[in-house]
Amino acid sequence: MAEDLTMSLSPDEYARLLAEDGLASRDAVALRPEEQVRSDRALRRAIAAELVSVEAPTIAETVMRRLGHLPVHVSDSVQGEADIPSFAAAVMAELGTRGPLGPQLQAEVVAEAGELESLWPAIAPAVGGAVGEQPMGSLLKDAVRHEASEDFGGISWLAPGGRWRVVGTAAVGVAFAAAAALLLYMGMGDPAAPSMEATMAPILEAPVDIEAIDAGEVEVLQFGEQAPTIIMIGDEASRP
Amino acid sequence: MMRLLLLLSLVALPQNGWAQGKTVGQSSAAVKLRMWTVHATNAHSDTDDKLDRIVKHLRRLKYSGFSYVDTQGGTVRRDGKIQMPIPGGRSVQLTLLSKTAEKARVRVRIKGKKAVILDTTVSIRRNGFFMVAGPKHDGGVLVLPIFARY
Repeated sequence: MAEDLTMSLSPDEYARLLAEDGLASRDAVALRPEEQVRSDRALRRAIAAELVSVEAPTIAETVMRRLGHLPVHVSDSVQGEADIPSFAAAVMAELGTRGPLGPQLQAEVVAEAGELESLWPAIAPAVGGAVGEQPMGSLLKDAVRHEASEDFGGISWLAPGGRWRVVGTAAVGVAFAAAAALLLYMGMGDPAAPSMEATMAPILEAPVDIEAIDAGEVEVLQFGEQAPTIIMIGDEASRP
Repeated sequence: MMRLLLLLSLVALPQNGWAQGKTVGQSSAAVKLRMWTVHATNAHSDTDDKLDRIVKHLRRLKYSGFSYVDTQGGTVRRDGKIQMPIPGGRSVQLTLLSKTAEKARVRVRIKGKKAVILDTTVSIRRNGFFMVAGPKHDGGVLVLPIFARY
């Protein structure tokens, strides 16, 4: 039999609790003794001051400091022929292994399981579920899909006033991990690999110098100094 | 897992040395060679959005529609080769012969089912590209924009 940890509140204590939580009506608050109200306001001011003094990590600025100035439109480059960064590979490379990621990462998670509190109890209510009663994966995917849609006009489940704060340090850790992975990719990959500028820089539209060419039927087209060379070939030789 | 997150968090802290580590303009030994495969045809007049960046050059060709097929390629060092299949049983081989700060010398060989269709050596300006067009495919031709990024 579990120990009973419940406690009873007097009507006065209950009323003060509601007032402190901001759940009491104006009239109810007005009935509270002045010293309680002052004490409550002082506590709120102290908490607000503490929260205001905490600066959120400026991940974007950190990333850009690592990159230097890139006078390019990143999204265009990404939508073009730029590679998708392999975050996982960069992270694992930094950790000192270049072997297969899956088994090692899985082993790491299994070995240290339990140290990180489960996030599901905090996340579940935000997506309308309850742990153990509904498939969380489906709910999350549905929520993400819903909020990612163009016609989404509601309040994000991560919106201020929501429950994201409940996730607490774990969420901050995940955010830092993502930023770290990005930084690793940007600055600590294979030193022989093409630079980030090469990945993100605009495509240069200019002619090429043709040193040698051997083709059955060929025509070289050049439409100005700001245009790429086009080598037109007939492919009779490739026919069966 | 927390140890992993902590490690990554520490890495995320700004460090002056790293801030200068891989700066804009730093040279490297490798070149990223990319090849798009585009199907040009007169059967329609649509152009894939993915081709926006080069569409004005594609329209120089006498075709009305351009469909993006795929992107292939890889990162190579000197004398490194990349072999890529293209529709029609053909293949394209790109070889990085050399590179300077300004240009990369690349050999391009396109093989048909029986013979080599094209064997050319070109110097592509850094982050530039050129196009090979002509292999027949599905009522039109293939256009192969080839990029050298470094």
